Amino acid sequence: MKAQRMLSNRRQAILQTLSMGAFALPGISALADAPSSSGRMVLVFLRGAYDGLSMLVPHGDERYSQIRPNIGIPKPDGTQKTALALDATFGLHPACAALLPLWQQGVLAAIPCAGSPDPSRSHFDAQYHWETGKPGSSSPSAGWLNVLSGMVGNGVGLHALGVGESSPRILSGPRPVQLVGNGLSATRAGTLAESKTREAVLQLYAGNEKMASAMLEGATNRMSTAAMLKTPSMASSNEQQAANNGAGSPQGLALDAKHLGTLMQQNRQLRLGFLSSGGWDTHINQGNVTGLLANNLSNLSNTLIQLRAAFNEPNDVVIVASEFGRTCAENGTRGTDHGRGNVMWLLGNRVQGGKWHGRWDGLAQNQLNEGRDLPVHHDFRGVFAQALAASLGLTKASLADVFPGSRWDDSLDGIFKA
Amino acid sequence: MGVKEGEQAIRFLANHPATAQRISLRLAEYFVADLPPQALVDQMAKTFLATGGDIYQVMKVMLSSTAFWDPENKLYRTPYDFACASLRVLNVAQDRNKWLQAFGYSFVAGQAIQNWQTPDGYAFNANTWFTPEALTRRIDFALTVARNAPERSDLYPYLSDTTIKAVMKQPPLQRMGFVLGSSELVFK
Repeated sequence: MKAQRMLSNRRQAILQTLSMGAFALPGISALADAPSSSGRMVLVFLRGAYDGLSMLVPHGDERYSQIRPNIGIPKPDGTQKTALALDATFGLHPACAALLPLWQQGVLAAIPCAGSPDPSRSHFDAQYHWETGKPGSSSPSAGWLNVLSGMVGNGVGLHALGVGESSPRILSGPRPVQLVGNGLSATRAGTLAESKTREAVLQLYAGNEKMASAMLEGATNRMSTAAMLKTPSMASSNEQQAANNGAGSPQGLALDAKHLGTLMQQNRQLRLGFLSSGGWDTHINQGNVTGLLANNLSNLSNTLIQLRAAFNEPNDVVIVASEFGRTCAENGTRGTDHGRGNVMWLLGNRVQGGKWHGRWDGLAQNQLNEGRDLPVHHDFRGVFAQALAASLGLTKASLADVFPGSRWDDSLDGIFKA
Repeated sequence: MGVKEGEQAIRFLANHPATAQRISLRLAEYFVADLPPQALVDQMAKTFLATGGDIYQVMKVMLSSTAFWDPENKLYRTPYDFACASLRVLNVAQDRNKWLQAFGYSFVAGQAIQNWQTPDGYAFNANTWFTPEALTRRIDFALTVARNAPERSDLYPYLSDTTIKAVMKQPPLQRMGFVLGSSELVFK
């Protein structure tokens, strides 16, 4: 594949696309045109390394409560003050009770020890690897969702949507993608919805084609997004603008998920969705059954319920992941530090749900990476590849275009139904 | 012993040509252009190494360059930059409502103050911030924050004829919004 410049000249790219002048990258195979290619994939990326062992609680391991005396979730006893048993090995954090029916329906699955082959414990580097799909490489690269969006529909039109973050790296690159703001800002069309105002600003930019066309395109996009999001179901829900720092608070995530669902429902060309939230880097006082992390997990659960409602067609899949995991033992400040392997979640009708998949060796110190972290048994690219094959019909051959240098993980061949 | 080794490591890095290039490039990207001329960067790097890292001298080289003064070398203001510039132009930094609006604009635009999580800091190049929707949000902010602001005709000599013409078409109390939204102020 040709090397790509880190261009995000979206205006030009979109205008190009609109005039049907889109270029095709040589050598990129189109996705298989089979019935299985009709689905949509949504990635929920938790920035900051969420504590997967608090969401998928390894209650069956006797070492768990020893190494997490203050932040551990108690063994299941049938109440909501303890882990909700999924099987003899794992339970769900009680704040994620809303997800239990999905597990029981067989549409929700977990992979406990997934992650990056690169050992970096830097959020910055690890997120970069995850978003470019090239662990270990720091050279300029397009986001893999951007590359993938070009493989859908033979490189014509907009096929990927990000809601919330203004410029996520995973979506950046030469292909035009749709980006919608966070929270309630997405529902407001702005001052340029007034034609009088647009006219006046056009005069301000007279002779400046770049500014004038950008303004008009932006105004048009916002008006149509706002119109799509002003459906009765949106108006009746009780969302509040995330008032705290950060473009992606866990509370705001559920609202962004709702917007994502609505927009992707209204525009079936959009096959790839991206959401993200921060606030997961719980080094201090992460809490246990209640507390900071529990609140975030509750918001995440609400988000997944939203997404399940919008993405429940046969080949839709929602994936939850973080750039790495956290230490198995708690630290001196009732939190956890950076680790390696982490739990990835898969949600969809094709998912072999109601079970966890892949390798799990327990929490004995000699089974952990450097005696402290969950090991990475499954390269995250292998997990994504399985999902992309199931939902979008990605062939193994085209895997190399999205994740160059990665290999198919056939130990995960059972995570999706045929 | 450990501390001495650390100091040695820092000195080694500080004297490395790559360090001179990196610092010079970042300064030139920030003050001159997103893609500054390599010749200028090289000159700055040479000065850095020759003076043992004297930033004052490096900056002098940059500020005396033709590239710095070339009107074609425009920089697109980041949302935070634009928010601050707007408050300065309107002279309303002491007005709580106005700076709350500015704060809110930075947040919605994706540059919440001091909220970048990784050590590289917010990007400041046009490709990151100049997108169609982002431009419209900038205009929203400009028109809102400048509503009823007293006209600053002392700025007009610095604006193009096209801008002035469009600005003067507006009633006096709406003019500053259009001044802020002009390409002269959206860029710097």
